[in-house]
Amino acid sequence: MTSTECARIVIAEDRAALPASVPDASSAHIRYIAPRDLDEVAVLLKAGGAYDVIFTQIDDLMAGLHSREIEPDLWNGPGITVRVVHPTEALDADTVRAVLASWNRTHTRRRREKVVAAVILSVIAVVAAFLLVASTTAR
Amino acid sequence: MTAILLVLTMPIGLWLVQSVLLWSGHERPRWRLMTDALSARQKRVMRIATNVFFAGILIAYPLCRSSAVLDHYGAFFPLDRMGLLVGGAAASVLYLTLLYLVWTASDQVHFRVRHTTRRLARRLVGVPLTAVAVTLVEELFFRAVLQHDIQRQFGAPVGIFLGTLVFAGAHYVRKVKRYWTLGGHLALGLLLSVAFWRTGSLWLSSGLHAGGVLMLMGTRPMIRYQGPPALLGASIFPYAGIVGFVALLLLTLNVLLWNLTP
Repeated sequence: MTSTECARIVIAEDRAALPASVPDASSAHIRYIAPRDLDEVAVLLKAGGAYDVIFTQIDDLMAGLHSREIEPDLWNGPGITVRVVHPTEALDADTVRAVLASWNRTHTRRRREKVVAAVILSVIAVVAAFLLVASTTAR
Repeated sequence: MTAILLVLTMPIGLWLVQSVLLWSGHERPRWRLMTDALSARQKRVMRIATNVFFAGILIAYPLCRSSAVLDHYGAFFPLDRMGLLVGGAAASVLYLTLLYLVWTASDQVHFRVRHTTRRLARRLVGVPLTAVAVTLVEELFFRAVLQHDIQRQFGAPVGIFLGTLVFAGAHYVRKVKRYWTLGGHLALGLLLSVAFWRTGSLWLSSGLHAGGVLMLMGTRPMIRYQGPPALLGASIFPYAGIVGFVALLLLTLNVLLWNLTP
């Protein structure tokens, strides 16, 4: 691999059972990372450089978005392409880019709403805890 | 003053131990304790030295006051007040459980097992023992030695103030990942110092402390903070966010209102 090439990362649970659609699956330059270790991918992306990230299951991509291990701003960054190569659920890099951008817009709005909910619920929780403890222990 | 002088021997002594270790490895001394310049083996030696200093000070303080070690510490554990231990632990657990519940409901924290079942079990098995050990050492050191001595000489307000300050500061003597959690440690120190002053025993402060450590260490392998740290805190520091800070102040108010009639 030369320095001008993209480093390729394949997100796959079982390296032995990769779909035939993963390009150059046997190449020594491909780095395989399990879906539960997406934080390792984030560390690599944050460090900078060009990456071609390949998911073999669309569920892994969506689970990463749901769990927020995939931050759309980071994964949609310059020099990074993300695609899904599952034989029946393939998504090219442009489609994934559009999905990530859309997800980010919705998520930013929802995050604000949830923080407001958290503040209100937290106030109720600490007041409830205070009253519960006081009712059983106070003079 | 005895306790303050004894407590001061700890950072000074540890710094000397560290300097000798660095010197033996042809490194220059560093101001910061547990510096990255130490090797893994040297860090182990530093941890052992820390425990030796803790034990030494806990033994030396009563002896300096011509009191038997067990008599001194035994006086802080009157058996007729043992219920405060359970009450304190229950109060901490209740506060943290309610906060985790609402943070989970509002998607601010995620609970997800990130280890294999075996590794998770291994980590969780040690949590109760860690909670007891951390609580016992810190309560004896900061309350039964430091605060007790300051209170005796300068009165309760000074004892609570300095006890809180030293307790919080001690968590930052060595290099740590986060320094913005200091406010939370000050609020926690205030809660535990007030509990000690209010009850004259270590049961309530130990219960509050152990309940908190149990919850924080027990959830640590599973919890992931998603919300703003200023609101929720982070990692094992949920008390460092605004909500946790306010919760600690309310719990301190609970302690002040606590009915201590046996």
